[in-house]
Amino acid sequence: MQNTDGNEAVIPGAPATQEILTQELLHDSLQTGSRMRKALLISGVLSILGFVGLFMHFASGTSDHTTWNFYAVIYFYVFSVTMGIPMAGIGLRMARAQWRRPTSRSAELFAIAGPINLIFFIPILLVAPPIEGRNSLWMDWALAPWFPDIIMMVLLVVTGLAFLYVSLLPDLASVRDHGTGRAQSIAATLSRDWNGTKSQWSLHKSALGILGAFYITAYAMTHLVLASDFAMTLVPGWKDPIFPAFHAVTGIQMGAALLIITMYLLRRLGGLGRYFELEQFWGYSRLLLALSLFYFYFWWCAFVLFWYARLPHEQMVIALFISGDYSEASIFTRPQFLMFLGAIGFSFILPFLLLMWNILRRSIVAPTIVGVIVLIGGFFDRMRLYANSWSIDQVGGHGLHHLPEVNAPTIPDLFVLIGMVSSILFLYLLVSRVVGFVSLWETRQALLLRFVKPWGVGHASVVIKPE
Amino acid sequence: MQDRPTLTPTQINDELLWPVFSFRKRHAVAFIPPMILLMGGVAAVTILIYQGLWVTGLQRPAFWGFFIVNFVFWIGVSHAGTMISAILRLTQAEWKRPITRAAEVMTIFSLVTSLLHPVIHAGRPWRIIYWLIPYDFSRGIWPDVRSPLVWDPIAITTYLTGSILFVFTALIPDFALIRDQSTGLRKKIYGRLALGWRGTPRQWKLQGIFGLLMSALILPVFVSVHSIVSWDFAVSVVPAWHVTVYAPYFVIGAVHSGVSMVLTLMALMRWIFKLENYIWEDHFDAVGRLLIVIATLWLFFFFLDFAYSFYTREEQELAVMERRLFEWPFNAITVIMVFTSYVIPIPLWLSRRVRRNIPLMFWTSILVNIGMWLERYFLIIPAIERKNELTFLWSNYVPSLIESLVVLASFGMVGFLLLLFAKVVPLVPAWEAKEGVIFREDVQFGEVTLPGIIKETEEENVW
Amino acid sequence: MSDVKWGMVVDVDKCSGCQACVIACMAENNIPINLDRDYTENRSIAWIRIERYWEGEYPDVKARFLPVLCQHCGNAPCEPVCPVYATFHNDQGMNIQVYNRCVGTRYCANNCPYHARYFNYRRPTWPETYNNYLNPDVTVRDRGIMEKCSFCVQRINAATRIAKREGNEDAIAGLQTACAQACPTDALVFGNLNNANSEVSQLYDDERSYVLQESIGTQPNIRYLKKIDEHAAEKAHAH
Repeated sequence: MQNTDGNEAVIPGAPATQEILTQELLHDSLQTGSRMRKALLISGVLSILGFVGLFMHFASGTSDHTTWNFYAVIYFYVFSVTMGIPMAGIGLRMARAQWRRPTSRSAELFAIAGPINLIFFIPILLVAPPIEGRNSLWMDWALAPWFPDIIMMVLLVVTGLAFLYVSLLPDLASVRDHGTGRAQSIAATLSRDWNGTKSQWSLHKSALGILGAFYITAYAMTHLVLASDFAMTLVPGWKDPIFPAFHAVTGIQMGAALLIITMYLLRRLGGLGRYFELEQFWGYSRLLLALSLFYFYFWWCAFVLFWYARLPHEQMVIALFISGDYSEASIFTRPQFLMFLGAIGFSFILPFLLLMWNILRRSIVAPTIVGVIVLIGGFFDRMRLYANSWSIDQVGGHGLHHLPEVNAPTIPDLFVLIGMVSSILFLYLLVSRVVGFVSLWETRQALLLRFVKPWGVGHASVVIKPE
Repeated sequence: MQDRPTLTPTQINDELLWPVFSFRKRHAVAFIPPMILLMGGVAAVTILIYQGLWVTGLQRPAFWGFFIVNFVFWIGVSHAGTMISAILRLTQAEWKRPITRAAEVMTIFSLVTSLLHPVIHAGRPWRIIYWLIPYDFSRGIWPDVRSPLVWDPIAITTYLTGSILFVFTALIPDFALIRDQSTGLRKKIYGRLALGWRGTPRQWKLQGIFGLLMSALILPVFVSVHSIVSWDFAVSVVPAWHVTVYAPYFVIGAVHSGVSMVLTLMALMRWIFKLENYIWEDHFDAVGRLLIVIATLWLFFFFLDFAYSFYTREEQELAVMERRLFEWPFNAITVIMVFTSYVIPIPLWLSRRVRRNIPLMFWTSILVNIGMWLERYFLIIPAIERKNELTFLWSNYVPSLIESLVVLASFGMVGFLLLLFAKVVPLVPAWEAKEGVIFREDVQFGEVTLPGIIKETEEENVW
Repeated sequence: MSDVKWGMVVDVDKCSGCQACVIACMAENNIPINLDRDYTENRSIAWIRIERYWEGEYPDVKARFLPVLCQHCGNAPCEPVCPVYATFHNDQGMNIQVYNRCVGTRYCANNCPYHARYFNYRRPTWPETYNNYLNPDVTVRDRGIMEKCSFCVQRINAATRIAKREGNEDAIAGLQTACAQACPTDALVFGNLNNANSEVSQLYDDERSYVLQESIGTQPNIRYLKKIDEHAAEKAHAH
């Protein structure tokens, strides 16, 4: 039995103590430098571009959904990436991995992307064709698909924000008690009467558990209805129950990739190297490797069935999403195949070939590069799924009769992409001005739960498991 | 927190090794139920092979029945081993210690049991037993690798080989322990098995590295085995089988079924071999929490399969769902399945008090396995009873006594092999138990004492 | 003889449901006699069967007959799933079943959308004197083996030998399967699809012709001719 105040790390030169945490995470992180101000300004201005793009799109009409195909690509890309990041955070929290503690805040903060996704979801609802005459999960329900889909999206966004709020609560209280200026007054309003009593912490833990479980459920169900209503329903003859799971898991994969990149940027630009260390990158790179393998697994599950059974309508689905038109002489006239090559190459082949080496997993730069690669692959993947399915104007029928012409992306689409990304970045940076990028209460707990002691002729670390 | 006894190495040796050195009444009596079931099965299989498949309930178009359902079930149960030993080893979960070996050998024995089923269900078992080996035996032809029935034995034997290697290397320190405690013939045999183990730091390090490597390498096998078995059904053109979600659905169902079987095993082991000092309420608690996650994932995939059955509203698929939901006996089977696989166990397991109550955990884990067996029946049989548009041939499958005896015997076989294994080696790894004692460190936090685990440290940074 | 492609046309309009084809096939191919218990157990074997569907309510009841046999699909689902290569496609467009390679896993039967494959659950036996009528050109299958329509491959082989010996194609051109030979209404027409002059090639392009379960894409070698219903126009108006 050992008595510990949880303050000292026995090895000399050990980096973190409670005092250092308070200084860096409470006082220093709330200082807004000029670089941060510039970033806020630029991202704020570019956010407006998103709405400009949206208006331009509406101006050219909402009746033909085939001209909105790249809007769907961009929306579902941003949606998948940003809503998947909190999943990675919640999953690791449930698995009781201690190394995730410094990274949880940066993951959970992406829940503020929810309202942005909700705003840009409205056009999807307005433009997508009705389910009449098509296969759909909703049978002939008159209110579908817009009613259940908007409910699911709202549930997901609200649950994410609620989870974020509960997770922020102890730190908001710290800022209320020790912070200054605008941040302090905002924190005071938001943190209510949090005083860190035993019952409050106990309730806090249960709330995080329940809200985390709700978020996971809402995430899975939202991906189910969205992927089904806005991709599968549009393709006659495509019945693929694993597609929602594929959609959800690739979302988490892209989310993990963006999270690694965020960690790297916070480390380099934010001076938070103490918190985003090798152990964190190593952990997330293993997660990214596993998720990249899952990309392949879920894709293969669908492909092997369609390929093996040789049913004509499923052969058309392969042609639409994977191979393109076989009768074309050159692969460069088969856009579907090129998109698929990009998707599987950047989402699976390259990440797998790179991350299978331990030396690359256990580094900081390599997982970041693989994160960029995965984000590129994710874009190709959403492109092959949505650009193609939204180009189809055939309604109903046993199978797709012919491959559609895919409309090219337009300037409004580009504006929407820039706008969505900038507005999410803007909100992200804005919230960090109140609570910082690294969670103070999580890292305080981490210091309490792990320390180093002499062991035999060397040292060993003791990890305390509260359950 | 929990009252954990501090065990000395001598105490560990005595309490874990007694089944190897003596054959007490508890152990002997435990053999009786599985042997009865096994003998029933042997009789049934003898009749089956001698008389032919007409003694089963199989007909047209239900050409596959109880044997295939049971085959899939036992492949499913075999996934527990990898889940517990490989995945928990990779995530460094401390609570895996007493159950890794039992889970891993249960994997091996369920794989062996399941491998017997494709043999006995074939029309000519005496041919199939060697015609799937990739050697042309001067017939001039090789097995057809396009067939999922060839992918199956490849995957299963790979998994079996990997599991055997895994279990064997984890057994070496215990073989050495028994070698050092015995004399005569036993010493010789265990000496050979121990491969010269001396317990030097280098040997321990190599053993640890092998365990980690094997855990990582066996993960893709673990995912692919049951996926490949599911593709027996999914790559066919039978409408209600040709469903893309089958692979992960089967895998997660396998983990659910297998880990619940491990729960059953833990409770039985604890009772028969008096392992109260090694298998604690904490372990049941931890396995229960893992199962809540797994079962909920299973429910998600079940929901996916269910929801999309109505997606195309094609008549034959709707006919299959109608049979599954409304016709006897499937209406009862569906309800029982959902209740026993999820609705009864999971809400119970949400309560910490229930998770730490061993009899309750035992009975709920049995419920889960009843449900999961019925789930395989639910998935496989109605689809071929209502196969395609030519309704003239739709019919109902009624299993026969022979098939039921074989199914019961499979449980007897796994039980029998496990009890036999317990006679040869300790079911709880002695070296894991000793490591658990050494690496435990309780830390005082004010009025509370929390358990801590000692780990190797390499990095300077400590989070 | 790979310039031959065997096919068949079944005229559903001409089929009277007499089951002469079923009996002829049974006699030609040594199929065991189906007893009562084979029907109640659903294990009867009939390489060609007449499916009977009732339509309408009494007294306007109609029976529709559909002769179903192995369709010898160009894109056969039964072929890739056999683990021991007991079923494959030959160069004459037929699906061949090799009895002594079959181990009886029955996957091919599950994968056949036409339910055209049959399994020998029992060892077939015939009463004493019936042994004499067994066709010596056809294997007698033991229990545990799959079997199905072979387009009377023994007749095809015999005709091929004769044609080679005689040096002319008459034997091939006049070749009939047992079921086609026995059909009293000529509802079954068998022949060489690669010969543009054969009756089966001409019937293939008939406006009434269709394929069973076309959506599965099996590309069968057998086409069916729709039943003519003279009251169809009235019925359409009535709805």
